[in-house]
Amino acid sequence: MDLLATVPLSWYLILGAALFCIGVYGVLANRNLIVIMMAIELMLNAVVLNLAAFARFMEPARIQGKAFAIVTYATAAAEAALGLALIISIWRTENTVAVEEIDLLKG
Amino acid sequence: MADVDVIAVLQEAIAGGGPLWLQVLLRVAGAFGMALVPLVSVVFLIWESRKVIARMQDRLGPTNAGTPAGPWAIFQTVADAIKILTKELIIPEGADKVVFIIAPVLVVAVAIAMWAVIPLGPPETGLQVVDLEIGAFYVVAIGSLAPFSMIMAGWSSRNKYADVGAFRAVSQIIGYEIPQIMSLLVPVLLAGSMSLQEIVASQDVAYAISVPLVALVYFLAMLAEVGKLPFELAEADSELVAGYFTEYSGMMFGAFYLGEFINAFTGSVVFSLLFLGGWRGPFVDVVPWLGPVYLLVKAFLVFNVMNLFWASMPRLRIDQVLAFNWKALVPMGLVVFLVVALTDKLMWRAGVPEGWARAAGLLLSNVVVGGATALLLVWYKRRLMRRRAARFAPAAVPAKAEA
Amino acid sequence: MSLSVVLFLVFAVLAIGAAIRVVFCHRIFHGAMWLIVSFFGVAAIYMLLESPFLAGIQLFIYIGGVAVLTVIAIMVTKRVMAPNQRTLNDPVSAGIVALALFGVMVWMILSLPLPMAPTAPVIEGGLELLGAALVDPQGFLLPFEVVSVMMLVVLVASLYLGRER
Repeated sequence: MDLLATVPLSWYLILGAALFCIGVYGVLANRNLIVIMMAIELMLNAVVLNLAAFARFMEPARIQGKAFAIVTYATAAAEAALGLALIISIWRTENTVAVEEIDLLKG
Repeated sequence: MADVDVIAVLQEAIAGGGPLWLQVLLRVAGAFGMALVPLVSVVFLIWESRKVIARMQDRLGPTNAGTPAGPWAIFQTVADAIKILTKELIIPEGADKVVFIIAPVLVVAVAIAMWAVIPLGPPETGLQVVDLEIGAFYVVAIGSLAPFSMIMAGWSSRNKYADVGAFRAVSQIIGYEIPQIMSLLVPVLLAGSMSLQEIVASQDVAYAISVPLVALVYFLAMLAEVGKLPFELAEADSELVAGYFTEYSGMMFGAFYLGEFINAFTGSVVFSLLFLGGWRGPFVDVVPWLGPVYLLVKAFLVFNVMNLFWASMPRLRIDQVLAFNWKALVPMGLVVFLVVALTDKLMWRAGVPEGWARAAGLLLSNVVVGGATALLLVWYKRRLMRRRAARFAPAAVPAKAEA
Repeated sequence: MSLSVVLFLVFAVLAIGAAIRVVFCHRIFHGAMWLIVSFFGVAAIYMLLESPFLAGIQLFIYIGGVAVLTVIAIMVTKRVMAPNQRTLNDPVSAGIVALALFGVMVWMILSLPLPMAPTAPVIEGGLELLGAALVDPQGFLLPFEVVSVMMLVVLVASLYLGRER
């Protein structure tokens, strides 16, 4: 086994891109609001993975990448909390979590 | 096979050289060995808990109930294990099979995964699987996986009692994570590193002596996290049938039971590492292998304090548990963390030397905060009593007017 | 085939496979379980990227926070769990969009001159540097404080939205 060969940066970025696109598909194709929330979390995960990969490969003495990642994590957690509170609030009034049936603001 | 000196190859691999696969194998073997420590200790601790609690409650506990259990029933745990293993595994019909079976596995896995960063002895003995630079944070992160197994167990049972029990247990654990983290940050702050080995190494004065209030907050938060009395409503033997593991039988129930004891023991070990000085003790630098002995003795003492709570306290209701957390422990954790950080910085600015002088300063700040809290509580109670008396007094007036 | 390549492939396949199971789930609860598996895979990849701090945060915030929240939301809104309900909304065009996006991103990544290996070794004490930078006025103090204000706002907002009616 050759210890010296590491994983090139493009592989990490492609992994991030794949996770992001799976998230995009999840958001576009699903009816259930909660699955859409989960897909958004996948997308944010992919973004932070990108940041971490760049932070490692390009001059780790600059910690901008990691600080940005922490801020993104905090934002993602806050947005998940608020989104799920909204979903539960909608569930209480509308009694549905299917995306097409929530159209009070339509037309 | 060629004439290979096995001992020399092994020694080289331990020292860090040698072929990669051998190093990996040694690491895995070390991890297995470390995972055996909680499992073996729990066998002893379950028996010891039952005996000690029984004696505290003025009864005998398991005695020599028959031939296999031995004098003083020291093999009681083995007998229990045999009984649990031979019971039928019942899965309720509407239950979600995969999730139902994974939940107990996850409980034990999470409980044992915490042992990856626990240093049993000083660095010379190498009794630690890996010294992560984020050791304390890893403990917290793994502990935050605990609510999952509860949700999975409660949800997949398709049982209203299990559902309610799971919600209550999860809200308790998530709530008490906050004072746990706040108080865990104080040893990290004082030691300057999150690595557990460094936190232990920096305790020339044990943190339980210099910041006792923080140790108290951590102890209470840990009690709630592992689910010991008075925060035992996840089990709640007389209330919710059995809480979130109502529908479990046989070894799956045994896994939950085991996981709870392992969690309690791990909590005591982490408390001893963070606040009681871990493996430090007299003559450790001369005989490094005394380290694990000291740590296990300290953890054993903390575990017995938890047993004392178990034997003597009633169980709190869920609203009392949550009120205690959000109204008492979280503000206390925040305030004491701020005060300790401020005091430490002021002492550093003033040039107070490390060691006993700093510890005295921190102790003073803790006493001040503790005294202020006690005064606040007394004043609040007096006000409450006065309000209650005022509320019930006017009822006497209409009766007098009628007469 | 070095060790890190093998580990990367294992965890990458785990993360991607679990993510696909999330968006194609028939039962939402199982989808949440697969989401947790995907998060574990990504956390393992952070360890490969030699940032145990980010892996710890992933475990703690995503799995111990966001995923628990998601599962609780699922348990609260549990009527829409029937497996026979239509869960997908025009999957074909969504799939085309996602695949096209993936294709564009991969083409862009492969056409950039990216380094094959880390350009510098990991510095010791990176964690202390990060902490110092987060409270340094010339560093990241402003984003740090803004994030804490945002958290406070979100806390109050979620409590208000979730209050008893």
